[in-house]
Amino acid sequence: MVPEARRDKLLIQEVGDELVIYDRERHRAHRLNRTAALVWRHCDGRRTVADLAALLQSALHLPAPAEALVWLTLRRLQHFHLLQESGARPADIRGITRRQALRQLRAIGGLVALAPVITSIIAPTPTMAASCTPARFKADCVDECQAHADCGQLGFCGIVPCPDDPFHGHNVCISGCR
Amino acid sequence: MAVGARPEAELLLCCARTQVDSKIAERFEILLHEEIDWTYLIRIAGAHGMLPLVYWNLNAACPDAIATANLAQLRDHFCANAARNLFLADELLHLLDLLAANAIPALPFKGLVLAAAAYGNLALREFWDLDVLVSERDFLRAKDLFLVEGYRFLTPLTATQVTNWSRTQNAFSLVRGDDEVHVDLHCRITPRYLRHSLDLAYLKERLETVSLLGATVPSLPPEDLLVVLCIHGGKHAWTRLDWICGVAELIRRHPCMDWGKVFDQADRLHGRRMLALGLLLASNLLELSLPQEVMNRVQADFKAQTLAKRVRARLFQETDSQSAPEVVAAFLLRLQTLERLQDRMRYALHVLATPILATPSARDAAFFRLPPRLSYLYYLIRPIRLMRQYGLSLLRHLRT
Repeated sequence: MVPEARRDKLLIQEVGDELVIYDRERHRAHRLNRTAALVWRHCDGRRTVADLAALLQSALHLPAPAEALVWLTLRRLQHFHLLQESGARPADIRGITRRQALRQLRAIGGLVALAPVITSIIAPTPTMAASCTPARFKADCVDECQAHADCGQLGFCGIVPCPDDPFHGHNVCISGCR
Repeated sequence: MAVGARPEAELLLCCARTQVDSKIAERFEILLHEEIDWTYLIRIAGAHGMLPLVYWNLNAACPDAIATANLAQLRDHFCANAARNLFLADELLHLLDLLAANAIPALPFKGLVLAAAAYGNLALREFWDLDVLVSERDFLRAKDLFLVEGYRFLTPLTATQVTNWSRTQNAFSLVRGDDEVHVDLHCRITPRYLRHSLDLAYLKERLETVSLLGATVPSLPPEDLLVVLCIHGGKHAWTRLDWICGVAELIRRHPCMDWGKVFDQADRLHGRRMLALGLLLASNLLELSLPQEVMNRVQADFKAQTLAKRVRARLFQETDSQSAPEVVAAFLLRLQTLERLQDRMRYALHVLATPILATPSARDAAFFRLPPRLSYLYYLIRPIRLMRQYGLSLLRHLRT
């Protein structure tokens, strides 16, 4: 399969080797870490999964291609509607879990920190400070957090920063229901 | 740079720009080898709206000199701020489309447009609201459109208060959702205590355009924008470094600024001293280079130089801005930026009386509650309350 990144109605802000992407259709912002950003940038409708795996191997200095890592990234990208609908087929992507991908990454000696992370950012509002707890900004939430009671869809991690104290915030598990 | 500043304050001043030359990069290296109190640095950077530029510049110049945890925190904030700014930009374009569809000419200014015009990158500034200017004729109609769109008044107003507000104030402050978006809908840019206005009727022949998220939106020409920034900064007693940074970045990005037009506009608004103060601060604190003839003109204003010294001395003081001494100091500074006696009197009257026409402040009501049919007596209550609250601080200032 040949995945292709969605570009329309997306606003992109580069932050070093990460990306902040604002989806104008869904009014949601996402932060892609280095691995996720690399894959997304290079999903051009011509590169295959094997091509992307080779690219990741080179960019991240992995000892071997990690196709499972690419599949996991594509799964996350599709979950956040960052891939063209006509590109990757859901059945192609759904097969790999995060655990499997991380196992493969460990097996080839890659750092777990290189795993793709896509976080939805709920942009801070002026009165959010009142509800912020002094929790650390880093994730206690993990990807694919609890299933929503209504639809059974897995949720995803979002971070709510405090606008008056930007280095505190709290993590929320956002429902995967649509 | 500020004399006697802590290294954190000096580091912040070095970060207050979008382009870092070799001299500033060297200062980074030196300062980061000193004992930097990161908690203090982040606190003052946050207070001055400078966190995005602190991350942007330190990450580019010397990421290895910063503890990983600190850099990660700065990056997290940068991403969250970038996301919010993209969201606000999208909403601004939506509102401009809404107004255009209803044949209401509109001009976005400050905030996002300044970030586009002066910084070239929306992620490098922090702002919490959108500013849109419409004509006085369209003011109430535009307000109604925004209310239908889901916005509400930040402070609830009755129908009578809305009418009074539209006659006495510059802008409606509106908010949508649970504080999701703040919009200030203006009928004029300059305060009402300045006799001449910058309103859309005057500006429409002078407008230029700027690119915002790929869309072309109207914008003030840089010469007028510079004067607006200096008036805005003066109105707020230049308490935030990002306002000074905005002045410096606008000038740096427009090396062919027509200074004749700048001074003409400042003269028209009787804002020559406000302009001089803004330029002096940008020059002294951020090492902005100005043409010699411009420097000669601003340095000839000794009052502006005195005011610039006062602003510099207070910039990094951590004081309660709502305390009586601080309120009085800010009021006096704003008063002294006005060159003409009649403007000072209008400003004092504006502070004392005009808010009552719209709605008595919560503090006036808390001081002495009057039934609605006697609300006109707040004209007397308010000055008494203000003298009681601030009179002593005012006397102390006048004695020094």
